[in-house]
Parts: sequence; C-alpha cells; structure tokens
Amino acid sequence: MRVAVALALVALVSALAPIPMNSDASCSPIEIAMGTCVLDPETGELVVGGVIAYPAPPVDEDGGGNSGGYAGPAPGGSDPNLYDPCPTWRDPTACARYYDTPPIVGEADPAPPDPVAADPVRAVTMADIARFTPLVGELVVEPEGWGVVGTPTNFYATAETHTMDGELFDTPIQVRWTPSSYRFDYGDGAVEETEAAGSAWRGAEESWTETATSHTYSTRDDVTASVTVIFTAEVDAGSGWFAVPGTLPVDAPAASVKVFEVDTVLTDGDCLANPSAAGCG
Amino acid sequence: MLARLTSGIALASIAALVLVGCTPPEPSDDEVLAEARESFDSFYQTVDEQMAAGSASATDFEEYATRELAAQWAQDVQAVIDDGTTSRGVLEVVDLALVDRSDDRISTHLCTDGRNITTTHPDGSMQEPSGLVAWSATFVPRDDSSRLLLASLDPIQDQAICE
Repeated sequence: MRVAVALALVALVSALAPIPMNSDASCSPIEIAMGTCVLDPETGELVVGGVIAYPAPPVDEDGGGNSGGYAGPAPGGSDPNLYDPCPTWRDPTACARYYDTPPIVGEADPAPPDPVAADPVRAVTMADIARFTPLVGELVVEPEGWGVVGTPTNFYATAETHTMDGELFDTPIQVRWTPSSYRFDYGDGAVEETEAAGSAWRGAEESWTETATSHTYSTRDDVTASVTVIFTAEVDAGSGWFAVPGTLPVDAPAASVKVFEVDTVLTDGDCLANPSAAGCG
Repeated sequence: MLARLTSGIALASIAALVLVGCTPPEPSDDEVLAEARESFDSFYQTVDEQMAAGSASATDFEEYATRELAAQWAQDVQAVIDDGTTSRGVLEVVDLALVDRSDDRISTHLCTDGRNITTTHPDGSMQEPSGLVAWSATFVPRDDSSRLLLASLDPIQDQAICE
C-alpha cells in the first residue's frame, strides 16, 4: 500500500515538474513559444523543429526553377532520418496542410506548392477584409470625463483581440483582429502613438497618478479626445491562420473632456448645503 | 458648542491614529494573479519588441524578470535573431492558476496561446505556431514596488491548465 502511494506521488510530481531544458534536446522556452520546439504531452519529450507550416520558396539558382522547397517526409514519418512532424497527438487540422504537400518521390525535384494558388484566400489584402469592421471599443477618460490642470488624466482604449465570421470569395472565413498600437489624440494638440492600450486606475491609491497613456493638461480649455486603434488581421479559411499584410486604423468614438482648475479656499461650512455661505460661489 | 467641538476633535484624532497605524491589506489571490499576468504580458511584449528591433537586451527584461532569467532570455532571443529567424507576436495567457503562494514567491501554472506568433526561418519557410502550451511559472516580488518579476518559466507535461 505504502509503495503504491509512493509510486503515485512520484508519478504526480513527475507530471507536474517542469521539463528540464536543454537535457537531451537543445530547446529554450522561446523556441517552444515559437513552435520550433514542441513538447509532446504524452511522452514529455521535446521535439526539435516543430512543424513547418509552409515550405521555403523555390531557390532558382540555375534558372531551372525546380530546386529547393522542402516537401518533407510522408505522413507518419516514413523517412527514418527525420522526425515525424505530425505526431498523432497534434491537432490534425494543424497538419492538414502539411499532409497536402506531396512527398519527394525518387530523384524528382518537384516545385513546392504555391500557398496562394492552393488557397486563393491567402491572397487577401487588408482592403478585402476591411468591411469586416473590427470592434474598436471606446476611449475611457478617468475620472469620469474630466481632468484637472497640472494633474494626470487617465485615458485607455478598450479594444481587444476578437474573431469575426464572414464570407470572402464565396468562402466562409474567420477574421481575427488584434490591436497592435494606439494613437491617442488628447485634444490639446498632443498626440501619442503607443503599443499600450492603457488601463483603468486601480483603486484610490492609483487615482491621479501617471500611467502609460495618461496626459496632463496645461490649460483649462475643454477638449475632445480620441483614439485610433491600429489593428493587424489574420484570416482562416479552414486551413489555418495566416497574417494579412498591413494594418487597419479604426477610430473609436471621441470623448469630451472637461478640464478644471483646482484651488483651495476657506469656506464657512458646506457649500453644497449652503451655497451662499462665505467663501462659496 | 464647546462639547461638540471637543467631540469632533476627539473623533478626528482617533481617525488620524487609525490611519497612521494601518498597514496595506494583503492582496487577494485574484489580485496576485492579475499582477502575475500583467508581468508576464509585459515580459513577452518585451520579447516581441526585441525581436522586432533585431537585438536583445537583458536590461529591458529586468523590468519584468529576475536578473538571471532576463540574462537567459536575452541570450536565447539573441540566438534566434543571430540565426536569421524572424518572429513576431506575443504569447497570450489563456489561463493562470495559483499553485503556491508565500511572502517571497508565487508559483503558478499558466496556459499560453502562441497562435498569434508568426515565425519565418532564414530559408523563407514558415513555422506552425505553438498553439496551447502549459507552463510552470514562478514570480517574486520586486523590491521597490508591488510589481512581480518573472523568476522562472518552464514547460510542463501536465496539460490540465490548458483544458
């Protein structure tokens, strides 16, 4: 019984323990993040190389135009010198395109598949998908739509990464919009472009403090502030996500900001309760 | 009138004493996890910025990671850059769970989604993104602020956090 418990504990600890890096395979965490090194959850082994989604374009060294282009081994890892790029534990859809790539047969040197010819949706441009207008969210001003001269007023954008369904070239597609940067126009001539969306002040202790996207007004003029969210896009037509070149700037609704000046005065009691009291008004 | 004034002063004094004696409340688990998530997001944003800039800097990582981890990641990022590989995009935290918590260390499991990372090799071939990956991550409090620093980040075999 004790032995069984001990074995169970060892198994649990092994499963939860971090996989030692650079043990038998030379993998850094960033390689795992990029997918160039994959952790097989069944065996716990690191597979160096990951999966090539699209092969290299042809290298036309001799003018023949048929060299280069890694077509890869046949599905199932029939080439014993290469690792299986699509082990069974992977999501089959992740390997679908790979399997569509014909293996090298004999001495033939087939041209690599043209991803655009194979999947016309891959040729889409930002202009094609701009009609799938991304949800831009809003510009939030803290405190509630007002600020004080000489003190930071906080601004943040609420745009988030989101996915939309639609149809392009009669093909159902998904478009994933990701805010990549923000252009804050504070309404007083100051414009700031940043990768930070900003965030709300957390609690009273953070209120009135400077943030990555706050702005300090120097005059009491009321202004209209705005933010332009610059989106990047990816499209999936059923064969995996690919990035659409370029960006799409989208304006969020503008926000009015009332800018006050604050002064300290001595009053005879509460001015709200007694507006005519000395010092009030 | 004098009695009301006296009692007012007494109340104000008590309030002042209470304020002087109060200590910041212990952050809740949710608050700690939110801090950890923010540190991780900022850390990986720095990875992406360095990839975009084409040079790695441990100093930039030290804003969000311990000196040791910052040095290791700067070395790893530089190796990828030197290899001629380009990679853009960030790991998005899908889920984050507290495993253990003490005054000087927070252990978590986190699940990241790497599908937004686009990696292109020097020969022009494109990498299949990493998808969902489970990690064990520890954070330590930074000395001069309430921010947490990423102290370790290792993949784990247990995928429960990603399910």
